[in-house]
Amino acid sequence: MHAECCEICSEVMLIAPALRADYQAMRGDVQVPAAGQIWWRAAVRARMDAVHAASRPMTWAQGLAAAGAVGLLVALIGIAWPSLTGSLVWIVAEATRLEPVRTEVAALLVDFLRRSLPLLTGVALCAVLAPVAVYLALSDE
Amino acid sequence: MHDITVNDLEHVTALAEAEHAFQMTEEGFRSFYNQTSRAVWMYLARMTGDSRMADDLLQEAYYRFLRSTTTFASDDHRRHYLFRIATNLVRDQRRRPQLHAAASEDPQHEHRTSDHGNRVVAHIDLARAMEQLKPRDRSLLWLAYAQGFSHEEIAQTLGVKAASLKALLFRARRRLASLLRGAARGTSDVTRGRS
Repeated sequence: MHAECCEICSEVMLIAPALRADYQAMRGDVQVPAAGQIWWRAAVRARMDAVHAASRPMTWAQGLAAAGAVGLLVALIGIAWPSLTGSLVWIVAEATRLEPVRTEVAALLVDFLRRSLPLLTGVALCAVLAPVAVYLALSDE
Repeated sequence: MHDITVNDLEHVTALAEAEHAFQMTEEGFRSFYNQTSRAVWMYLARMTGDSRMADDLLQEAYYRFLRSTTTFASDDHRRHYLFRIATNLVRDQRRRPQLHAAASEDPQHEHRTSDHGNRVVAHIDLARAMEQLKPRDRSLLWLAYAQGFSHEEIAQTLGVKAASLKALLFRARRRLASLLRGAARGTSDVTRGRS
């Protein structure tokens, strides 16, 4: 017989029937889910994917808005700071005119306010960022 | 009477939307699924060696298939595309850390509990030998000899060049043949030892 002396054919004769028999044996036992079940699961998942895809730009927009708000707040503080300190100096000067004894205390207060600009900015940032951080931590994504 | 919940309504809406999100109607899908699901499941089970994994990947394969935007020229094209998705899923699965190692199927146990004589031994040998092959060789041989795909169909499914398929198939066949012959020698030695 040809298969006995031909190496390639003998390999095919060894493998093909074995794989085919394995396939037929498996085919009898295979239990696949019903088509409706697969369709239903796929439909639910498609909807969930669509919801996720739709909410992604909103999350980005919220993040950008929060970042913008923080930037704006910092800029406003920076712009308003000289006039704030000027007003404080004026108030203190007025107060010292009325009560000359407290001049040193007033000068110290103004100095403290000038030095505390970074600290106040940090506190303001925290006040703005904390709700954003809580929102991001508790959101689905 | 069953009360309708928001969840039920969402599911009904999801089913109504599905026809727009998917590339075929439910009727068409049912027919296509009934024609292909068993073959795909067997392919996945043989490639992963794990029937539970095959269940999960089957669902995933059909989901990806339904979401694809490819235009199919024929049912055969559709079927090859589905097998290609299945092949990619198995490949991805192999790259992930193996969490299901303990749950994977033990063909030896499965077959030895039933009494089918020599055929059972042959199945065990085949399953073991297949597991020792490279994943691509396993796919090649299964598609060629178990599922009866043509060379062109296999090339399309596995994403290899049709010209190199003959050589790849030859090498895969040679490896499996030598593993099966080795297994057969081992089995006959054991039988002789017992008698």
